[in-house]
Parts: sequence; C-alpha cells; structure tokens
Amino acid sequence: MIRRPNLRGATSTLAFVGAVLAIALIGFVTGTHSRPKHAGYQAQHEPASTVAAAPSYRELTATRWGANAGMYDLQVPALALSLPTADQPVAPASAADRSAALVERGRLRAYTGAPPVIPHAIDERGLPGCLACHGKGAVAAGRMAPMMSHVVMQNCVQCHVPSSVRPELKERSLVENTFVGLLPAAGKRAWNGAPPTMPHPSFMRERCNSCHGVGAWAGLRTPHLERSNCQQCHLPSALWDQRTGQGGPLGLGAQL
Amino acid sequence: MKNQPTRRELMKRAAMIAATTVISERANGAPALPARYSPHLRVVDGVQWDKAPCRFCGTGCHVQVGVKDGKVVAIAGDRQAEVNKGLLCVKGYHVGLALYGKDRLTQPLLRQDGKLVPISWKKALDVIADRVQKNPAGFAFYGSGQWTIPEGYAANKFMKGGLSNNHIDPNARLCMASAVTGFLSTYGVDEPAGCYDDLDACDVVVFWGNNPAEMHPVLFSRIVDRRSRGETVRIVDITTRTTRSSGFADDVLLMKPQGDLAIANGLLHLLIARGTYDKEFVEKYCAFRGESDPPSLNGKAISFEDFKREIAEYTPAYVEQLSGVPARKIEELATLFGDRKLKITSLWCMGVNQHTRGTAMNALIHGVHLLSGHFGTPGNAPTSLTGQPSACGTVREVGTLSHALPGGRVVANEKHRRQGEDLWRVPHGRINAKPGYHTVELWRNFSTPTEKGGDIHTIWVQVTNPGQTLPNTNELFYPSRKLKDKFLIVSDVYPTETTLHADLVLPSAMWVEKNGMVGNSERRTQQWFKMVAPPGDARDDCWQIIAVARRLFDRGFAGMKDKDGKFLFAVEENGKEVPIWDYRHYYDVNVDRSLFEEYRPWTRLKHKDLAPYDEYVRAHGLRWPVVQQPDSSWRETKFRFSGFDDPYVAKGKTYDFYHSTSEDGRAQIWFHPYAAPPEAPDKDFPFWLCTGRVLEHWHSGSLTMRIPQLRRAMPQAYAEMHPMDARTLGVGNGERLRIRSRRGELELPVWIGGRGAPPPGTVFVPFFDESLLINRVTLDAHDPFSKQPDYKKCAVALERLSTEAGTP
Repeated sequence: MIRRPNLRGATSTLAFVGAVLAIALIGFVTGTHSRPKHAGYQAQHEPASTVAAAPSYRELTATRWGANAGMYDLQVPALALSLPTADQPVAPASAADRSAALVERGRLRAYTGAPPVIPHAIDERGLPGCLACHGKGAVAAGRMAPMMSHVVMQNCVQCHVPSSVRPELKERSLVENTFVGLLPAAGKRAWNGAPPTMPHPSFMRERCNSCHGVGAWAGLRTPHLERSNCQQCHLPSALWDQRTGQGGPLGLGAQL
Repeated sequence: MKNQPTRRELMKRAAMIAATTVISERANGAPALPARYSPHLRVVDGVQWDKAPCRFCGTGCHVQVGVKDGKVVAIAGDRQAEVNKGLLCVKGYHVGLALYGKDRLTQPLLRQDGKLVPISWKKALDVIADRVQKNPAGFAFYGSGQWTIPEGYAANKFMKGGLSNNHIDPNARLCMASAVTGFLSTYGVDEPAGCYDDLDACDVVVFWGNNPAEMHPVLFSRIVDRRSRGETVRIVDITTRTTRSSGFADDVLLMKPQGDLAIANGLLHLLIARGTYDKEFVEKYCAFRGESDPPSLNGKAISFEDFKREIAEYTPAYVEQLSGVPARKIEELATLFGDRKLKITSLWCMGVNQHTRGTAMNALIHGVHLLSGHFGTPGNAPTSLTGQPSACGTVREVGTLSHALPGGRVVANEKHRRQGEDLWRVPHGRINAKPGYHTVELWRNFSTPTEKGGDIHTIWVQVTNPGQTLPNTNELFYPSRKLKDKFLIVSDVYPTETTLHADLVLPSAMWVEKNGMVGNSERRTQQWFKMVAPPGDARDDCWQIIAVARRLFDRGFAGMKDKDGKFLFAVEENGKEVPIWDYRHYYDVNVDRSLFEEYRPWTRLKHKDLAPYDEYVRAHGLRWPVVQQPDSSWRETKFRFSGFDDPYVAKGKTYDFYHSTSEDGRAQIWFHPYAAPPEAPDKDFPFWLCTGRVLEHWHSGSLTMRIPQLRRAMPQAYAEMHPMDARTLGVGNGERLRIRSRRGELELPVWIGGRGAPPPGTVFVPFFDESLLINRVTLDAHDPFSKQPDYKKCAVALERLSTEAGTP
C-alpha cells in the first residue's frame, strides 16, 4: 500500500498542494519532470488493457493526462506574474465597478449560493486540472481564474459544469425556464460605517480572498488586503445560517 | 456566539413564520399551504427556508429550499444532513429550477380526434373510472421509484386492495429488481446491511460496473475527499469502459461485458484455494447454495465441499479468458479481500442490476464479502446503490411490484394476504393470489391486440416516462398506440415521449409542491412539507388516486369500500370524514401522515420498523429499523445483522441473519456459474452497445433538460467510441453515425475523447435525450428472477453517415 503523508487541516493540505504544484511547475518548465515512483503496489505494463494506470493522490495535482496535457506548461508562471500583490494599494471599488462585478458574477450562477458554471472548455475525462489555475488564482489578458473559495475537493466537476456547448455536440433550442434566482443584496450594516455582514452564504466560501482578494474583480476587491482575519469584523448573514431553525442550536422554533 | 439574534429579532421572526404559514397561496380554489409545524422552518428577510430531500437520485441528500413570494428562489446543501453534510452535486444545486420549465402541464388533456384537448378534472376522473369499470381486471398501474411512500402505498391499496388486481409494477423493475432478488436469495430479506457510514471507514472501495463520480457524486466525494484529509482509501474500479471514476482509481480492471460473473467467481475460488477466506465467519454465519433444477430464487443447499469443487474451475487464467482482465489483477484483488485487516466496501448499481444474470451477480458480490468476512463492521459492506429517490422507500418497502404487498409480503402467500386484508380492513379474499404482470410482460401485453390475448386494456402511468425508458420500445411501447381499444393515462409534470402518445394526460404537482416521504439507498426514510403551490390545475399524484377511488366509491364500486362499507381512503378528523377527494380540502389534513401511519404496522414483519411520521418531520431521515427505546426516544439502525448495533440480533450473538432462507440464522454464499450474454457481437452486428447516464442529466431528462445550466453543459446524447474504431469507420468528432441493432436504429453524433473511454469494439450512448431514443435499439432480454432487462450489452452495427445527413 502507498503511504501518504498524514495531513491535518485545510491549511496544511493547501500548503501541500501548493508545494506539489510548485515542484511540478519547476519540473515542467525545466523538462526534468518525471512521474514519481513509489515503493508499494504499482500498475505494471498491461498488454491486455488499454487503460493507463491511475495516478496516486500524491500525483494528482502534478500530473495531467490526455492530448492537452502540456497546454498550461509555460502559461501558469506567466499568469502568476500578472497578479497584483498584497502590498500594492487598492482603491475602494466604485459603484460602477461593483455592479459590473455583480453582473459578471450573476452570469455564472443560477442564484446566489449556486456553484458557478465553468466559462471555458474542460478536459471531460482526465483528472481535474482545475487546481493549476484555480488553486491560487490567476489573471491573464483581462480574464480571471479565481482561486477556489473552499478547501480542495477532489471531484470539482461534480458541482461545476461547463457553461457552453462543446463543439462536438450541437445545442438545440432550450425550453425556457422561468426560475428567478435569489440575487445578492448588499451586506447589512448595523450603522453607517459598521462593517457589513456577508451578503452570501459563508459555507464553502471560507477563502474570502477568492472573490475579495488580489485576483478578484475590482468591484468586489477589499480595500484592506492586508487584513486577513475577515470574520473578525464581517459576520455571516442570518439568511443562510442553517442553525436558526429549531433543529439548530439556537432553538428558535421552540418559541413558535 | 456570533450572529446571536436579539430577543426582538427572535420575536419578529416568530411572528413572520406564523404569518407566512397561514397565508392562503392562491385565490382560485386551490388549497392553502397546510398549517404545519416544521421545526426546520425559518424565515429570514422574506425568504422561507425548510428541508427537503433532493428530487433526483437515490443518494438521498437533503437540501435547504429557499422560497420567496411563493416561488423557489434558492437551494443550499443541508449542513445538518448526515448523507451530504452540506454538499450537493450540480443537479442538486439546480433542483429548484426543475419546477419552472415553461411548458409545465397545467390542465388535464384528453385525446379527441387525434389531438390532446383540455378537459376538466371532473371529466378526467370520470374517464378513468369508466376505464376501470370497463373491466377492472384489465386495468394496470405503472408506477415509479419516484413515487413518494404515501403515493405508492395509495396506488398499491387502490389496485390490490380495491380492484383485487395485481397488475401494478414500477419503473424500478428496470432499475434495481436484481438487487432485491440478490438480497432475498442471500439474506432472506431485502436491502443493504451497511450504510453510507461505511464509506467513511473503509480502506478499499470496489466499484462493480459503477461510475459514482457522475451518478452518485456526493457519495463519491465522501470517499475521495478523505484523501484530501490525508486518509488513505484505495479505489478498485471494475468496468467495461473507463470513466471519471476510473480517473480516481488506484486499480482499473477493464473487463469484457459479462466478465463480472467470472471475476466474482475467480475471487471466491482464490479465497478458498489460498485458504484466506474467513473460516470462523463462514462456519458460524454462512451456508452454501447452488442453482436448482428447475431454477428457483432460493436454489438448493450445497455443502462447502460441493462449493469448493464447483468454484475450482475459476482459476485466474480462466477468469482472464472470460473477462479479459489480466490474471494478476484478479490475484491482487483476491489478496485485498483475503486481508482481514483491511476494511472493504463494494458499491454497485446499474452495471450489476441491468444484467440478464443480475440476481446471480448481486448474490456473488454478497458472497465475496461473506466468504472473506468483510461484512458487518463499519467499513466492511456490500452496498447496492439505487438510482431513484424512493426505489427503496416506495417500491421495495411498500411493495409496488406485481407480486408484492407492503412490508416484504407477497401476494402468493395466503398468510400475507390475510394480514394485508386485515390491515386494510377489507373482506378476506379481496387480495388476488396470482401475481400480476411484471414490467416487460405488462407492456408487451398492452401492445398485443385484445383478440390475440393482450388482456390489459388500460395503463395508468405516474411519475415515469416509459416511452423513453422501456427497453426495445419498438416492440413494447409503440404498437399499443396503434390499437384503438388500448388506453394510456399518464400523470406527469412536463410533456414527454409518453405523454406525447397518451390518451389522457393529467398534470401533476412535483417535489415541494406537495408533501412527501421517500426512502434512500441506505434504508433512510425522509420527509418534507409542501412549500409552494403547483402551477395551474396541476395536482398531487396521491390525490389523483384517491379522487378516482372516490369516484368509483360514489358509483357504488364494491372494491372501494372496506368491510364496514366505508371509503377505502377515508380520513377522519374529530370523528368527521374530511372530503380529501375534493382538492380544495386535500390539505385540510395531512394525508401523507395519515397514509404513513396506516402503513407503519405493515413494516414490522420483516423488522423494517418505521418511526411515527412526526419523528421524520424532526429528523433529516432515519435508517430503519427505527426502534423505540426505554426512554421513549426512537433509535435508528446503521448496521443490520450486527449484534453491536441491530436491536433484532439475538442477545449475545455477534451476527444474526434473522430472516435466513435456511432458517438457521445464516446468510447464503451462492455458486452461480458464468453464463454467456444473450446477445454478443457477431459478423453482422460487430459492436457492443452499452447505455447509461451522465452527471448532468437524470434518467429520461424530462426535468434536467429543462434546467439551462445542465442542458448547456450536456445538450444531447452522443455515441462514445474508441479512436481506433472511429478511424476504421472513418468518422470524426461530431460526425454522424447510425447505430443499428436487430430491433431498431438511431443516428447520433460521435464524441471521441469525451466523457468516457470505451475500449475498441464498444460504443456507449446515454439514454437521457428524448430526441435521440437509444431504447429503440436495446434488448429486452431480462433476468429470470428479477425480470430486469439488460440495457448494458447488446450487439449493434455502426455505419458512418455523411456529415450533412439528418439533424438531431
């Protein structure tokens, strides 16, 4: 059996993923990359099978498969260069920036809280290469690849699906759907000047930097990038707080 | 505590909840939302949230449904639900949109001069009652694993207790009937012993012809996300084509169709030959079984020596020859099963069930786990998954099958019939002893002219789309539509291939437009309340059944009376009968609660005890048997047959198969030999055809194809094939191909290097697309015990079409 490092908590997972990604990038760029070998059980050459051996978890983020495996090889470091950094001053967002960002954001979501669809083609079968760009986030040519807002979950395409038709399959007319999704309202403030509450669900949006950090749309970027303990001042909205039913610890329903 | 509401806020919210729950929703005579007490209900900023299980697959995730101004506006994964812990899949996140396709059916439609014409509900009920009275014995019901528990219970009672007619069968016959016969022939009682908790504890998980990355994504994530937390779980994927699940697997065993029989037998052989089977477990808790002549579900008892001799043939080399999987890989998998220190869970679904040897294959997987002792402790379980939200809760437990009665009873058993007649308070002799037609028989009969013996004159279809999902529709579905005296009634929410060909279409309420209860793959019974009004004149399926029953009762039809002459579905409140057959009064009482409480006593016989309705209102589902404790609380059971958890295991026993077919507390380890598939590629039809599903679409796509996010991501069916085959045929990506079998043909675009990768010689087509009906091509050969057809393998010829030819 393969022994895998015993990671505890999201932070070390992220650090680990980051480290693997970094090593992989160096490997790709310098051309010295090779698949890591491990001592335990490994798939051998299979004359009767056309299936490639599945990579181990250790290899997941470092190994890409299929025809387009090399397409990002030289791109990712270039993308990273265009990211602003935390020490650069960020101007507060204008109202126009903000509404532009909300429109852009709404375009990819059925309602506030829905997982965004993927606005680009993906490798349908290969292991998700999502982390290459969305692990840390990247910006290039006016397009932004946001850092994922939640801890690494392996099966990205379980929740996120492409937004457009792949060329092999033609789209036929859609039956119109009259669903109107809940829109984000501005976060509530207790008084003028108080920090707003979060106007969206906080579950699976633990990494505020994803939308409010350096790589974010200007309209959503925080003017105080240097502060990192967001929930010290910005509280989750009661709208998405699932604890407030009677079943939750607050026991509201008992009063009805 | 962050975000602790103030006292004033709490009072304000309480007042809002009280106000919104009594507001009448519509002015046009439809009932108001029921006055109800949901402990999960909360109202914030005008959005009313409550819990509901997801509408789609059998996983049984709970969602939080956000309703504003009478419409669903948001969905959130329910963090308090043990099944999904806040996570959903892309279908679940968009389940709220399923209600709002613009072409919802909103009024009853009757075919007149070839056209579907709007009629009143009153007329519709009369038409159905006329069809019943024409000849009650020729009236059939075709239902669904999407029927809620009360709906299935009402339909079953209507048919078997009211019409003395057993011609009621569900689409689940096409879906998990082989799982049922597998459980029955192994344990003597249906449904898995383990539960999803096994997925958190196992060291190895084996997928038998299963692609949970797409079809049970939340369970798949529950497994693979353990890796993100630094845990080790080894995935073994036994499959006929590589899929997204294979991409996460440590070992992929690519097999020939039908090779699973050989692989399972090979494992059984190696466990014995190597002496690595669990001798103590087998000696104490298992017996051996072989196929009888003539074949029967329970076969015949055989000795361990007989078993050993029979199984010896399945050497790794022979298994390689039959399955195409290298002998070394079989040996490695046998090594895993031979290691008692590892905890191993098997998962399977359609690959094993939609199989002409489905019963055998189910029993063999149980056998591998029993023989190796990988059973009954957390992480060690053979667990079959289901594809519909209540295939277990309704079809299997309520017994909406042509041979069954609720609670694991069968119509052929006189004692069971008497118990049923007493519980339904109908005269003895009311329940017919002869099983009705199973699905394939039923539809074949319906498509056979009356004068040639086709004695089914009417089928009422609810919550399913047989025009798309039956196999070999050219023989089973379409011919009936040309026979004048064959009448098809369809209750549905959207136009489908089935409503298109129906004589009477009834508009139904769906999901949170009605109260409901369902049961998922892990024996978990779940409940939700109506949250929004159905559109137009759409009404609950359960009401439709009760209203027809009442129409018959009013006409003096004896079957709709109990032995005291009372209406079969009478609901009383304060000693007065509530006219629930009048839709304006349907929600004056909670009919679901009333039907469920009537059903509960049925569940004791097979120790599948259900708790009172109100317990399910409180919980996010409970896994049966749910047994009341000395402190009067209700306790669910996670691990059946295991002394440490199951209250029905005899005191002091570690394991106890208390419904054993050998009546000695033992489970059966079966010898089922390999058998060739009924149809295999030959000179004229040289390719295998496998049909299946994709992540974005659920079953026939009538809901998911109306959700823009899902339809854009996967807009149409396609033919998936190996690049070598594509090259030989001269077709490129997106070019059109004709798939032809002995039964029918279909033209499709080719997608190479797409979602899955079939090996050379195999073509895969998903069945969700109503405009590309692959079931005109498939085979209706079925398992002899479960009667479940094999959609996974038949022989086809492929032919390139010019790129201009045809449009989808």
